[in-house]
Amino acid sequence: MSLFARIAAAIVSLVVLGTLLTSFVVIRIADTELVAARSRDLEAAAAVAETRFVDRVAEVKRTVTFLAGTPPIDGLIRAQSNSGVDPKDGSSDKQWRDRLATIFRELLESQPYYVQARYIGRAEGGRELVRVERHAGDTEIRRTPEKELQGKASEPYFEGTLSLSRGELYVSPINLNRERGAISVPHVPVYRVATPVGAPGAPHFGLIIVNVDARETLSDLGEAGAGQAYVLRPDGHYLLHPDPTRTFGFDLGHAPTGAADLPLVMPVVTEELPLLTVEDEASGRILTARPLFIATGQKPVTLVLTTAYRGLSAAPRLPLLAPVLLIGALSLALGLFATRWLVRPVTKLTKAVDQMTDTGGLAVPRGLAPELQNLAETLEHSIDALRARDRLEASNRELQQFAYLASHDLREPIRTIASYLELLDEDYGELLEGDGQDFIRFMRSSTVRMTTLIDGLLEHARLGSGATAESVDTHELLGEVVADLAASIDAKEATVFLGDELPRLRGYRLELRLLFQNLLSNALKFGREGVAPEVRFEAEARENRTWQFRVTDNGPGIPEDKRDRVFEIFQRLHTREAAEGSGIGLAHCRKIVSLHRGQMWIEDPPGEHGARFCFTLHEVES
Amino acid sequence: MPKLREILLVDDSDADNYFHRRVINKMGCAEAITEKPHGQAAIDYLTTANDAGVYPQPELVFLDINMPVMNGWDFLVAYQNLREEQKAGVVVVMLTTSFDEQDRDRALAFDVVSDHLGKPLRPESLKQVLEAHFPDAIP
Repeated sequence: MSLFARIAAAIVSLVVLGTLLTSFVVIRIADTELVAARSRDLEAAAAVAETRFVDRVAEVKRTVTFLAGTPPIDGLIRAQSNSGVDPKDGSSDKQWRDRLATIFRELLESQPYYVQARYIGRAEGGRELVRVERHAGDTEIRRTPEKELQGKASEPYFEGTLSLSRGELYVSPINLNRERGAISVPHVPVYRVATPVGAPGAPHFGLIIVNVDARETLSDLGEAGAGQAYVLRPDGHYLLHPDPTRTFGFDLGHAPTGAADLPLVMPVVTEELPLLTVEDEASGRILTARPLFIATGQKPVTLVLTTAYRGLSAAPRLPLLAPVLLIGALSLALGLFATRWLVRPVTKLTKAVDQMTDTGGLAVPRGLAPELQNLAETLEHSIDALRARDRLEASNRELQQFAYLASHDLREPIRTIASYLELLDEDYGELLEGDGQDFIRFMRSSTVRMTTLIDGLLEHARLGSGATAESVDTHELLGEVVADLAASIDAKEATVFLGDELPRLRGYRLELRLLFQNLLSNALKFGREGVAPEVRFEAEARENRTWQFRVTDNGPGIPEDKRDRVFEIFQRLHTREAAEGSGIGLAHCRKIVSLHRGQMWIEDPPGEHGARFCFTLHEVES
Repeated sequence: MPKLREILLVDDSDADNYFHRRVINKMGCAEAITEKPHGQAAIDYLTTANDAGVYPQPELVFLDINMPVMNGWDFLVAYQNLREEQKAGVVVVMLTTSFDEQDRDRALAFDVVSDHLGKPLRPESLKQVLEAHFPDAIP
């Protein structure tokens, strides 16, 4: 994945995530606000509905109070208590009744939702004295004939009203209108407002009662608010329901369902809370419930208004989200621009590296950030180092090849010279006089020496080439070397000690053998006059599969200022006469050690005499 | 003590040929010594019959490796494909450096190579070759 793609992906995800989160939060806030606003609207609608409802009932109450104060009421009481004639103005009982009936008729004519107006006496089982009514679906207003008037003492409103003080008003619960004991069809919900009447200071003579058609009042409630409306009795029956067939179950013998339908608002019904607004997550509605006090001495009914907030709320969100989305898009554009801006120097740097020639330097682009500047410099250094290493390797290979070819090709003429010196000596040696034979001897020994040098050079060049690493037990290998040099060891009466810690390691067997062989034969060759040589081979493990070896002898030692030179090729410390050697043995040793990624040096010996050769060997990886 | 009838030296170095011829003559083990300066000349010699239709078929060949025109390796490849009546008895490869293992292994990989020696040929090594292949020819 490219750097651009990575940064762009990171920025795009951040911006998208941020926008989504912001949108979510905005929507949450908007939703909360919306619900709150709808709740307030709904509560206000419920308050208005309640006020209108109370106003309507209050209007009926005023009417009833007015009726109770009309002259026929008292006139009729006076006439009845005076054998049917009013002592005050001589009007008969019947005259008062007719007058009252006229008032009732006029009242019903002016108030279309008044169903009945009655004057009920206490005497004779609560017998109706005057009754004017309007039948359902019928515009005609009729006064009930005297013989059809009934006793109403058993009706709940009879005792309910007469138990009040004068001037107080009774309001009945709403129920379906009945005519002669049966529920009239079509169903008409009614309520009754009544007040007791009688002579001042005397017990109640009777009551004035008006039946009111509640349909309009209820439908007013139904139209409050934007959603649906319910009116619920404390027992769970509906007075008002969007589905009219579910109302007035108490009159029709159905079971109440309000508690099951509207469980969230039931606290208002059962615990008589003054107001409750709840959010119904399941249906996505807000419900507000408010008690309506109707019937005297009874629990209030509950007005429940609902409004949906889900589904309707998508549209109001969009204007809120628009700025969020706009900011998101702007951030995205800025982010992508920033990404390009960030990646640009890297691209430039890459281009500069691409355009680099094999030998030219890195043209570091100008104006890079410090980090990239550092990177460019590091890169430049690495490239330089790599080139230097390549050059060194190439030159090493060339040198090795040169040494090999040179020594290989030099051997031929030297060999020929040596061969013919031999023939010369054989055939004409005896003919030479004076120093002639010595000259031939010097020449022959020089050719031998030169062959040795060339062989040494060739061998040095070939060290490690084509060798494969294997597991080598150095203790065992040294044992073999000691066995090979047994004759020389015996001749010098030398002692060779091999330490137990000499390890087994992966290395080049032939080269390691040559290393040990050179060191041992050096120690044997360069001993002190008259002292039997003692050579100790020891090793100890270092970390990382590396071992340090020590080869200690009791010979003449190596002066401190010569210690580096002995490892150089063809360097010899001793005169040819004192000790014979090609001067290449230690150079071989150091090359073999470095083939094993080790180092070689010389330390002071523990005793007075001798030298200590130290070297490290690192295991060769397969 | 039957001498070898013919020894073939294939080498471009006159000095070496002279020296080798001297070692062989001193040993007195061959009636004739033929010299050829490179592989191609040697192949031509081996594949040329005399008037009687007989090929030279020297008993012993000393073969140098570094030669112009056709070197020792190419000679060996060509020699392998000669007819049996054209081939020599024993072919010994002469190596410039005694410890060049690669060259030694390469020489011995040829079925037709019997032995290898380091240059120059010395009386002791000639004797070894004779002992191995022509014990009767040792004087």
